[in-house]
Amino acid sequence: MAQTIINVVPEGTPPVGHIFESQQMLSTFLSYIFNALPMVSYIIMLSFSLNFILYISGRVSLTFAGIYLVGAYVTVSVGTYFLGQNFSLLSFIAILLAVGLLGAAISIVVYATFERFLKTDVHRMIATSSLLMVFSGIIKIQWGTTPVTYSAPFLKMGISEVLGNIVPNYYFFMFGFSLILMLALAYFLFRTAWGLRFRATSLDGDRTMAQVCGVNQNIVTAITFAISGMLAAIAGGLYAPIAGASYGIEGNALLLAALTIIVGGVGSIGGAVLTAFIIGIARVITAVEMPLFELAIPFIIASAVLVVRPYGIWGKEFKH
Amino acid sequence: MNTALSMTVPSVGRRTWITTLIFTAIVVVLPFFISGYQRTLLQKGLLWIPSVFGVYILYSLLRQVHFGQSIFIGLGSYITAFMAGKYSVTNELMILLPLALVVSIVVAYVLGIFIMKRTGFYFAVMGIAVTMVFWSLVYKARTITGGSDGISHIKNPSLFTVPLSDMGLYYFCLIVSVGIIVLMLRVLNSSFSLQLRAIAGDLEKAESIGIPVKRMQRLAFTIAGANAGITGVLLAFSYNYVSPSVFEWGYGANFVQSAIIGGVTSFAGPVVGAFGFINLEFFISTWFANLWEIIIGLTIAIIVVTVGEKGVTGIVQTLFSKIRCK
Amino acid sequence: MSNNEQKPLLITADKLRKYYGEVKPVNDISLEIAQGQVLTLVGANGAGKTTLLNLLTGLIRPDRGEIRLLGEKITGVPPDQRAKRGIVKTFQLEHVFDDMTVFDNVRTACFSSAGKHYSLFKDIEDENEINERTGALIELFDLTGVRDAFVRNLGHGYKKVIDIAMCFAMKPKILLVDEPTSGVGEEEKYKIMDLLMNQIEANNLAAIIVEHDLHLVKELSKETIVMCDGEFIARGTPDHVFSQEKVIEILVGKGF
Repeated sequence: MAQTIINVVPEGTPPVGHIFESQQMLSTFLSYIFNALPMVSYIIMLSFSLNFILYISGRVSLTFAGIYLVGAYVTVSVGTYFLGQNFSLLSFIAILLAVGLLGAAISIVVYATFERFLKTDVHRMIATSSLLMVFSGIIKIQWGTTPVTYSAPFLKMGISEVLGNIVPNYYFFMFGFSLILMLALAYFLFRTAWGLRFRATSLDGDRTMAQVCGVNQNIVTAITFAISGMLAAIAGGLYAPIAGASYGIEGNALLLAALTIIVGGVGSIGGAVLTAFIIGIARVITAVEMPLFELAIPFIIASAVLVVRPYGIWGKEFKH
Repeated sequence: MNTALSMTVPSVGRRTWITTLIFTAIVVVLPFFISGYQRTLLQKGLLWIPSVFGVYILYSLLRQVHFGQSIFIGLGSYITAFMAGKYSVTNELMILLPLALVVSIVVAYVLGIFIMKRTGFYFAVMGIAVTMVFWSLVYKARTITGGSDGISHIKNPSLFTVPLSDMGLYYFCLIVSVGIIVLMLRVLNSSFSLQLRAIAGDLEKAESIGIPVKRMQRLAFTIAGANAGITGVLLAFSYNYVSPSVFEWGYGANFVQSAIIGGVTSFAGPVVGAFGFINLEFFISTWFANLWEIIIGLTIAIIVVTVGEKGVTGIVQTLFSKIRCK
Repeated sequence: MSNNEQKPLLITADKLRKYYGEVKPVNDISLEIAQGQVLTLVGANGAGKTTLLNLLTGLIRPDRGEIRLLGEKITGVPPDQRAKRGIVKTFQLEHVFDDMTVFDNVRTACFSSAGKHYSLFKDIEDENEINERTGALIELFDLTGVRDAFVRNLGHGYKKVIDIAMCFAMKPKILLVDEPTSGVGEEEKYKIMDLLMNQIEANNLAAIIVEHDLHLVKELSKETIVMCDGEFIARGTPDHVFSQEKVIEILVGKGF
């Protein structure tokens, strides 16, 4: 698995380690936060992609990581083909939305033709983890194992200086985009009639009762999978201009999404966002200070949380 | 987790022992009739059996999916690579095997404290997470582990200071593997596994009749890890080469897939699964090299959807019982 | 209460407290139980009966207060060790091992009681002592007919009996019985109750029995406790307790 470990710190970041003046300390800290923004939005979307299915339909599905992989590769290919080095924000957003729709479609198809028939969580985990192999096999045939890149959006959006830090605008774009998606999702869940149906069938609600009250379980589950697939694919598309797409990145996505759920708890949007910040910033700091432990740090955080609060910091105890 | 699963573990009877004996006789004789390359495949299959048995124990007794077997195989392999390759300390199997055993037991026990804190989905993903953490550490600590290049030129092993030939290594692997099979069959028929099944059946009740749930789960995890640690050493000697790919989560998933192919309703499952997987891997990668991942992924997915965890042995059992009924 | 002075104290609970936010299922309860003393516990749903039992078995931890078993403090001891020391609880709902035979169910408890958790390499069929004991228990609880049946195929009444048999396999000192007759038909109810009371008497066990059926309560025990909103509001012989006005109000008034 040729996995690219992405160093999200761009050139121009002030050297860290020997700064004593308080102002510079603050500036360094801010630079960590800014540099963590892409990782944070990546984690938010991926973890919620997994979390959403787990919370609403009580099912475990690892397919999202495969859809993330597809999202990243398709964005790179389509972006390079249609836009090339010419970049316009609107068309990039259009590509992202199209990729999101593609992800939703894949997710629904996989659910309807396959995942629907899996009966227990154990079966779901094994079967969907095998599906991940299918996804990466298809990617390997289509794109090969060498990493592909499409960095036009990242480069063309320019940089801006915030509080003494030079930050690529794309970071803000990515964070804003994911935040808007999450807010839209929260609005949908908590302010609309359809959202109520979703919450009624969730782990917090009572599925049998909801069905008696006339909620169509199949439609709710299908839409849940669609939203999950959309989030995963868009996460892939948004992260691709920074990191490119390479064979085997789905493992990383799976790892971060799952650890975020362990830390944040099932079914909490706020918990997912806060955890994404904790893990994202911790990763950026270790990537600079102790690159060796970059992937270990999310795991260490998750282990510590498991010992102290087994159901996650913001999580409730669900039996699913 | 789900009571719809009506899976029962058979007890080890005389037939199981006879089957084990026949199996041993076959693998003892087989190398005289096949080519050297086929023998290495057979050896790989033999070495996979203990690891698959680890997954099997956790699956059939505790209903947990253990994606983390690659951790312990990796540990065993890297210990061997350091001791017999890079630093040339010793290539004595009687030192390396106990060393790998102790290290994997300690690591498994400590990891078990965190990983076994929650079961089900959380246990499975923590298994994946740990393998990836090990992978990234080994991958990045280039000066020590050689990074993605791995460590090659591992010396041939020696047993009680007698250097082993390729054939000698094959028979040593056979002894270790059959030894572990016998031990595991005993474990599966002990009161330990009875109580593990109780834990899987109803955790609260198990606790209320005095079963130390957490400790027993951790012990099961440790047994699985110890199995894999031992085979890690022998796998490294078989290939003369170790790379970070032994820590990939996909590699760990392969053992789960083997267990599923073999089936967990019969003791023959891990054996059938290990050989089945390795032969499948061999044939597909010879004929359709590009399609390997797609074919194996789809195969497992279809097996899970259609027959669940019964696997090949389960299908054979059902067929036999149908024939007998007629 | 005069019993208490003659027989040694088995369990003492001192000012136990467990709050869940505003809900106070167990509010500073003190309790003393002597060997061989059988108590019944009645109260409306949500009065805190199950919480109290769970505090005693260690399934949940008290916010305050301490529990002693034969004078030894066991407040922080986990449930599995308490079970071994003799505090055993039967469950209100079905809690049996569905995928195992009746014999294996009871045998598991016997192994656990004998402390044989980690005997990895000994065949279970060779453990003659345990198997004999299991056989005796199966006979004692009249399960011989279904000895090798899988538990998931059995009826509710059988599962209750198996649950109780597993508790007795633990050689308990005190048995905490949570609604032994819920969801069981009228006829089976008396059969289970008879079995249970006979065994409790034969082994001279202490017991706390949570029961909704007041007629049964009157027959069963010499002493009963009425619980309401996390507190004991009455204690004494059933006849005496159930004649008190406030008890009637609580038990009947709240739709009991």
